[in-house]
Amino acid sequence: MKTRLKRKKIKHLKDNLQLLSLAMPAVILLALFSYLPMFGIVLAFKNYKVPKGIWGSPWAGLENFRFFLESQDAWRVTRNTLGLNFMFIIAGTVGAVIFALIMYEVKKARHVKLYQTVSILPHFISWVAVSYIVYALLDPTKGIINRVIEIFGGEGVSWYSEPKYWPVILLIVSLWHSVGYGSIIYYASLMGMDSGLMEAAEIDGATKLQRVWHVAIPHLVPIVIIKVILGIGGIFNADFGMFYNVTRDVGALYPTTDVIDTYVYRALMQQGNIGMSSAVGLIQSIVCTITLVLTNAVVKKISPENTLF
Amino acid sequence: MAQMVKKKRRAERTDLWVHIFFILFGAICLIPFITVISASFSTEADLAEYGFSILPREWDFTAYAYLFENPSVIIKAYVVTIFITAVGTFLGVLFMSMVAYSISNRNFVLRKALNWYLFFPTLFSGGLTSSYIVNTRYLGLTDSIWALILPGLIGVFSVFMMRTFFQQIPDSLFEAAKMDGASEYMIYFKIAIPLSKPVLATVAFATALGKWNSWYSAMLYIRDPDKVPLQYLLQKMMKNIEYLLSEMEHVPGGVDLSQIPGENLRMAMLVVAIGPMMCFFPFFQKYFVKGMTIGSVKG
Repeated sequence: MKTRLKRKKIKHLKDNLQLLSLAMPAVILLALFSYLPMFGIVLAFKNYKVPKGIWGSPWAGLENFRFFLESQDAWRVTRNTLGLNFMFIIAGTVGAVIFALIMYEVKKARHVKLYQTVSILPHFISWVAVSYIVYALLDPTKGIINRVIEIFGGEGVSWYSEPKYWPVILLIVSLWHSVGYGSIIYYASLMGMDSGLMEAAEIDGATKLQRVWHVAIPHLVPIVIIKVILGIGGIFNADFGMFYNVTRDVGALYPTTDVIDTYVYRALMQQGNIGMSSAVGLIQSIVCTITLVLTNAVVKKISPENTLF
Repeated sequence: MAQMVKKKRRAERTDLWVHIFFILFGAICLIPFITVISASFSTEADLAEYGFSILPREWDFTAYAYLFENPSVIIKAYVVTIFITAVGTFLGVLFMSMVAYSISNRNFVLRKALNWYLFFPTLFSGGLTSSYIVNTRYLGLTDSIWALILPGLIGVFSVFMMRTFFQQIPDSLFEAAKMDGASEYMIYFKIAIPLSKPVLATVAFATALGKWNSWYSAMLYIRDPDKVPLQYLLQKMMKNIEYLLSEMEHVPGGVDLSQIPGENLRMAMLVVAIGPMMCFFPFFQKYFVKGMTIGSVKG
């Protein structure tokens, strides 16, 4: 009896060691590429000197933070990041829900598949490729948009030097890129809805719009809330690929398109200002953590099964 | 009765306005692509004179002649991209499924701790600057092909998706294997993996798409022209078309020398770079759709 217990214990230990070894590659990769850089945040408090490395460089106190916070850039990049992301979250969600509701009206599976394939096509190309497409539309002399404007007798706009249009341009590009893909989750939820509800409403004489408003939309509300809250949780992280490529990193557009991520990138790679870029990055990381934890707490209140952690 | 049948049939039919909506939306999705293709088949002179359009004014293959006369730049970029996509997808799916299997196992004592270890980087990250310094100075990733493969290979939500999937496999299967004395490796390899093909495929396609479209790591870490992947080549060309022309020594035969390609070459390059993937993708659409709807990915 005793030996059997012992054998069981050994087996348990052996199993655990094997499971640990299965986990090791992922553990090591995360240690190198996620956890090691977390210690690199001390850079924000250092005056980094290349030959001395991270630890050997002298301390700079809060100098790096002061430099950023006292510049005019701080307000600009924060406003752009929050404002544009907020706009993308709201418009993206509304667009995806409407798209899914219309998709729900398509009755033949074959048609659904065709429309879905075409509408998620833009999601499958990189932001670099998107920047080519936007360029083909907006180039001041050759772009299609200006040519259409000229055909109707208007005057072409030099899009790449007019920052005021870019919040709208970026919104349209963002919707083009994500609405079809984003609608899948809502469409799937509608398909899972008890179709008897819609039929009952129809028998009771509800018009199509009434049915959508009183049956379909309430059905989607829980997912919408979760999606929006999670979006808000990530509101301080901008999609670098979009902001960097689609604007072609044109300086004239910075007033409305420069976000924290592009700012940090330029401070690091173009100005070589390692201290400041890591200080800004650290502020961003901390604020992100706080928003994520807060939004998660909110979700926990509203619908515990949808929390992130 | 007849009325009811009629009503039913009407309900089964899609309204016309719905079709019109999707046809218009589809046009908005497709016209930009068509414009790019059309530009790649136009002469540089036409583009300079009339700009981009949906159909080329005059069909012209100069841009493609240039590309195929000097194929080495593109071939090199394709080789790099195919390599990082293949190796990245293989290692990514392997490592992610391995760790997902270990944390799906209720007997694993480190399960909770490991869950948090995987999830924590989602909450807090060291940021671009410290990653960059660590990778270039301490890990020696400058100009290394591994800089394009390893960072970000473990996607925590993919891991959690796989974990959830493994947990739904009936316990009795695992128990039976255990009775027969199978090791955890055997169970992972012979039971968990073969039964999880849908989720593995979903993660594999998502990883492959990410690697195929990746340019960010290359922009940060790659200086050697021989290790430039497709998307980064495209990005460099967006900034200056001369980069590509300078790499092309041979002028194709029968081409008017006054017609040095510019915009059309840029667009031809885009077509060559994303065309094959665009033709390929509709066949695997269902895996991406599945990934959106497969359910719980909680930390």
